[in-house]
Parts: sequence; C-alpha cells; structure tokens
Amino acid sequence: MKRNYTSIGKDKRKIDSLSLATGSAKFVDDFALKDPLYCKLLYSPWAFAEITDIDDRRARSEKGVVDVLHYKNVKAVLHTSAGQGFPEPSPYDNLLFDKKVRFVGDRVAMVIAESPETAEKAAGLIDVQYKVLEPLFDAEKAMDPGAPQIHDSSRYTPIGVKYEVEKNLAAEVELGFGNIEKAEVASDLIIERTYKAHYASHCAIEPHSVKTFFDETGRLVIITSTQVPFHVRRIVSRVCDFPLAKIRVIKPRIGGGFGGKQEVLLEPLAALATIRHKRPARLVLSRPEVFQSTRTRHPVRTHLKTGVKKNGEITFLAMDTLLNSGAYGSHALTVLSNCGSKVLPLFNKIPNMHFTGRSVYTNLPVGGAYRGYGATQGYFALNQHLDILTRELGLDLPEFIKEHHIREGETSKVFEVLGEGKSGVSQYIHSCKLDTCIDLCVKEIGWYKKHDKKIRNGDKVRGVGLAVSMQGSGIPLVDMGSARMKMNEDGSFNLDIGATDIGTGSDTVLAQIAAEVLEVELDKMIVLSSDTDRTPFDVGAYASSTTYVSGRAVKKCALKIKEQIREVAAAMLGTSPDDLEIRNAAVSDPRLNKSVSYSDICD
Amino acid sequence: MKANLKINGKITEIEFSVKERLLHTLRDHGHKEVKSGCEEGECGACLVLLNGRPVNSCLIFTASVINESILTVKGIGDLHEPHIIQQAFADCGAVQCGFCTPGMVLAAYALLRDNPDPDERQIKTALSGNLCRCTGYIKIIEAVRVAAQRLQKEDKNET
Repeated sequence: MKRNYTSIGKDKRKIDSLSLATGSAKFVDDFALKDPLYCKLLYSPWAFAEITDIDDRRARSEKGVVDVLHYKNVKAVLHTSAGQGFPEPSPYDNLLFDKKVRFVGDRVAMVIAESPETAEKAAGLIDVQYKVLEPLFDAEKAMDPGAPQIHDSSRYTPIGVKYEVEKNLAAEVELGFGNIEKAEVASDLIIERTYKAHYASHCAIEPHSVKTFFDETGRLVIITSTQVPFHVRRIVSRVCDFPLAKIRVIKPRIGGGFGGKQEVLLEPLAALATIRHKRPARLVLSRPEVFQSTRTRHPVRTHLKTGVKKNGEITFLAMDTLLNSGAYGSHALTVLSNCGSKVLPLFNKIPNMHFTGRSVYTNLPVGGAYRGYGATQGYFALNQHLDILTRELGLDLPEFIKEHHIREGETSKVFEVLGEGKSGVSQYIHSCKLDTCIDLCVKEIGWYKKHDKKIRNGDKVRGVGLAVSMQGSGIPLVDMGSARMKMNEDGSFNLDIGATDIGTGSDTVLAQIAAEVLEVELDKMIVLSSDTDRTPFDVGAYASSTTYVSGRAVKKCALKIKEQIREVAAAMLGTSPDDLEIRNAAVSDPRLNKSVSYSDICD
Repeated sequence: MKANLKINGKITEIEFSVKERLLHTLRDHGHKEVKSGCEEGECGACLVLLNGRPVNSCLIFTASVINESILTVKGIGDLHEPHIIQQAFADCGAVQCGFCTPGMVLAAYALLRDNPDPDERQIKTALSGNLCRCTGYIKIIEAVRVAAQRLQKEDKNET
C-alpha cells in the first residue's frame, strides 16, 4: 500500500469552486432556451378526491396558452417517481396525471404557455369538478378494516415484494432471531416506549428545475436538477413512451439535493411539452410548490421494547416501525428496511431480536429519500430509548454504549437477513472508532458535568444529550458506477464519469483518486460528469456511495491506464514494464537511469 | 416601461413591467449569477448590493431602482480576475453546492468594506440573511476572515 499520498487526503481546492464563487457556473435555470414554453402545474386543494371532470376550455382560450395536460389527454403509465436502480423496489403507483388526487399538492393538470404569467393565470382557469372522498390522515389507522383505500388494485411492485393495496400496505419487512418470549421471562427489567420522528423538507436552496429541448439532430435534451441522470433517462423514456436512445440527460451544477432530487417528478412533464409541441420547455418550481408537492422525510413511529438484566446485559430488542409513506410509495420499502438494517446491527451481541416494519399509505405529503434514509428515524428512537434505559438502570450512557456496540472484525446477523426487498449481504466491520468518538464527545460537551442538569440562562434552559449512529455507503450488489479516461499529448487526462456531483464535491474527489493513481497534479484531470450521452453509466448520487462505488470505478480505470502507460514506456525505453517506476507524471527505469514523461509517451 | 439601470457600473436601457421585481429583471437580462431560491426574502440567494447596501433583489421593484447603482457578484470579479473574497471562498472550501455563494460573497463584500476586521459575531450577523443548506457555515466564516486578512495585507502593500 502506498504511504505518501500527493492528491487524496490532501487539502485540494474544489475544482468548480471558483466558477461558483464568481457566478459563472451554470445551474439548470441559467441555461438560455430559444423561444421556450413555460409550464405551470395545478395542484389538488383536497387531501383525497376523485376528479369527476376537467374542463380546460377557459384555460385554452386564454391568449398564449399552448396546451393543457391532464388525465384526459396524457397516457396513463404506472411508474414510481423514486429514482432507484431498475427494477425499482418502490411500488408502481404514480401516474403523471390521475383521475384521483391523494394529497393536498397532488398534481391535477399542467398548463403550457408562451409566458410564465400566462401559464400561471391559465392554471387558475381550469375548471375541475371534484368528488371529495373521506381522507385518511392517521397512519396508525391505515390498515384498520373500513379505512379509506388510497390506491386501486392496478398498482403493483416490479420486484414482487409484499404489497397489499387493499390494506394501504405499501411495504412490509419482518425479521427475527432468537426467542423474544423466553428472553422476556429472563429479563429483570423491560422498557417499552414509542417514539415519533416527524416530517421534514429537504430545502435545497435551488428549487426543482428542468429544461428540455430538441437539439439540432432531433434528440431530446433534458437539463435537470437531479441526483440520478441515468434513472431520469430510463423513467422518462418509459413514461413518455419515447425511445431511450433519443434522450440525452445533462446534469449541470446542482444547488443541493439531500435526497429530494432523487425523484423523477418534473422531467417527464417538461419532456412531454417538448415532445408534443417541438419547442423548448421550462418547468421550475416555486418555493411553496417545492414544499407542497415534492418529497419529504417519511414520518416514522417506532415502538421499542427492550429487556435487560441488572448487570446491564441486554436480553432482547424488539422494534416495531410504522412508516407513513403519504399518498405514494416512493422509497417506502427501502427507507423502512433501513430503519432496521442500519440501526439494529449497532448492538450486534443482543441474542434475541425482532423487527417488524410496515409502510402505509395516507392522504398526506409523500415521503422519499432524505439524508440518512431511515437510519435517521431509527436512531432517533433507539438513542432516546438507550437514554431512558440507562437512567432506569442507573447506568452510565456513554459506557453502556461502549460496552454493547459492534466492534472491529465483528458482524451482525441483521446484515445478512435484512436487505432492500430481499435478504441482505454479510458485512464485517473493518474499522470502528466509535469509542474514540464517544470519549471525545463526552469530554468536549462536558457530559459528566452537565448531563441531567438544567443550566438556566435567562429564559433559556440548556442541557446536553448524547447519541450514536452508524451508516453504510452504497447498496451491496445493486449500486454501480463507471469511469472512462483518455490521455492527452500534454500529459493531461479526460475523466468521464457518470457520477453525479450535486454540490457534494464528487467531481473533485474522483479527480483526486485518478490523479493519485496516475501520479499527476489534480489540474491534469479534466472532469466531465453526468451526461448520459457522453459519460458512462452510474446510478447517481445517493446512499452516500459516490466516493466508494464510483471512486472504485475511477481507481480501476486509472490503474488500467497506468498499465498501458507502463507498457508503452517500456517499449520506448527498451526495457521490461516490471522494472519501471512511475512518479511525477514520468516513467523511469532506475537501473538504466532513463525516463520518459507522460507527454513524451502521448506525443 | 423602459428605463436606465446601472448594473455593475454599466448603464443599460432595459424594458420591464411595472410590477417586475429586480431579481427577474436581472436574470432576464443575462445576470444569471443572481440566484432565485425562495422569492420571498428568506434565503439571500438573490442578494445584490443596491448603492452598496445588501438587498434581496426578489423584494425590490425594478421600477424603484432606476439609475441607482446595482452590483452583482460578477461586478466584483470574474473567473479570470476573481476578487479576493471569491478567491478566499474557493481556497477555504467555503463553496459546496455554490447556489448560495454569490449572495454570501456579496454580503461579505459589504461587511468588509465597512468593517475591515470583523470578529466572528459580526461576520455571523452580516451573513445572517443568507442560508447555506449544505450547512457549510464554519468554512464560510473562515473564508470571510481569510479574505479580511488578505484585503488588509493588500491595503498595507498599496500604502
């Protein structure tokens, strides 16, 4: 293994930072379109209603209105808006426009017009007749007999997991080992509590934005603020019934995603406007529209039951999770799975464990991917539970966690049994510095001085709290990335990657990896990313995986290039590739004291 | 209506509607460096300097700023000749997604012009109208401090 890194682990300037700081870098809405159409959505004011009729004549008669899209004139293609790998683990329960609306903010129609003002005005002129239905707001009651049924039986899951639309059940996960009943009897104390994590909005400063147009060769170009350009291409092709080979998706600079842009919501709509009218189209949401109509963090109710012995030994842990998926099942299974799979393995030595998870439909805003992806909700519950438990036992929380958490070289049964829609993958912890973290945290926040004390400062009361969590990067055996490199005559390299920099710095990180392998300065890497025509496939920016998954692809690619460089250099120097050393953009044979530079090799 | 706007020192005759807000006028006339985040004065992405004073351009009627001096982030420096503050933001890792950065840089510019040596509290106050959802505030504050030092050094060199 290499010791003296020159690029990775070094304080390098983000390669796009100066263009962003000077305002020259382009986000979606900064691209100029020639003579574009402007799109504006009309949303449901009702939580649950059937649209008995839509009359768009008044809207269409407004000067400058080009088209009005709704369920009567847009093909119904069941899909999921979740931008996940195919086949998606989320149910196919979305239509671009449906006859039923299922939450306040569900889309009813879209006006396409010559100006944003006209589009907005005309949206208000669409006559919609609603038959208001009894809504379902309480996730706890979603599976009760007689509860309103949110979706009809045409909905299905492409991966064939448990899904019972009649019961509003969007996903279910169950796992267990050991024997909880026996463990209950053997426990000195059983603590049982319920915890609720609430809705949250991603609040990326750049609102969801998309621009579409036909290029000079007749291909449909989609410039979009997305975390998942390749999934956008696939889903748009299917939903719009337009050949994938004629679609090019470009991701420019993105003003943050946090999971909110791992969702294919706007792209098919703008694409339809362009496909139908052969003109560029723009669809950019306002801030209220982002809050109301896009995705959120799923609210989760977690019920935890734990048994302990007086000496602090944990006898069992049972977790019952109810995830409110809202009106659609976007990420309903996978976020649910992660509530268990990312949380339970932390305490891997508990001999008896049980996890039940259910995702249910309600007539509330739709959940989706959101930083942490279920782990957040699960750990929110677990950490409070540990706090309560150690208080009851009179034990020290930091020391209790240190005694029980998973350690280097260890694994957990949960890893194996709980995957995303199928069984998981065995995983071992190769490095863990949680004890160091806890010790440092305890010291820095003054845990032993401050905890359990109310420190009053005027009208404010301050306290300290301590929580631990564990995450994973990438979805094993599902995620993939790829990279392609080209060498130039001055010794610079083009690095083409599908990986999606949404402000995360992945363009820079991946260039650092390539520069490290090839022993060149970072500025020798010319990065092109996230263009479905010009860069190879990548699943996109999610699961905190880009550095690990796409980074491995870049490393492999750079190593292959390095081998080719070595072979060419060997031929030039008349020596064997095995005798050569590569350093500072040059290949040398120390025995012959001869060397060639990268630019010599490529000249 | 038509009127002269003075943007980054250049006077241009621009046509705009009576109710139009400065954010849209600027963006419609090529100033894409002014970002639109919330259009209600919350996020600061659209911040520009009006006669040297930081304002959210989404809350300003274009008709109310005729002939007044408007400065966008491109007016203080560009990719080829960046301003010290822009360079400091890049050097300090203060740019994550970068959508808030133009507004942040201008807020810092206004601060350092009035107060060349601000303390942390003063920096925080000056940037309090600008949201960074990537939560990169620590690096941003560091960048303003580094920019202040570099600007002071430059002043000394000039005198």
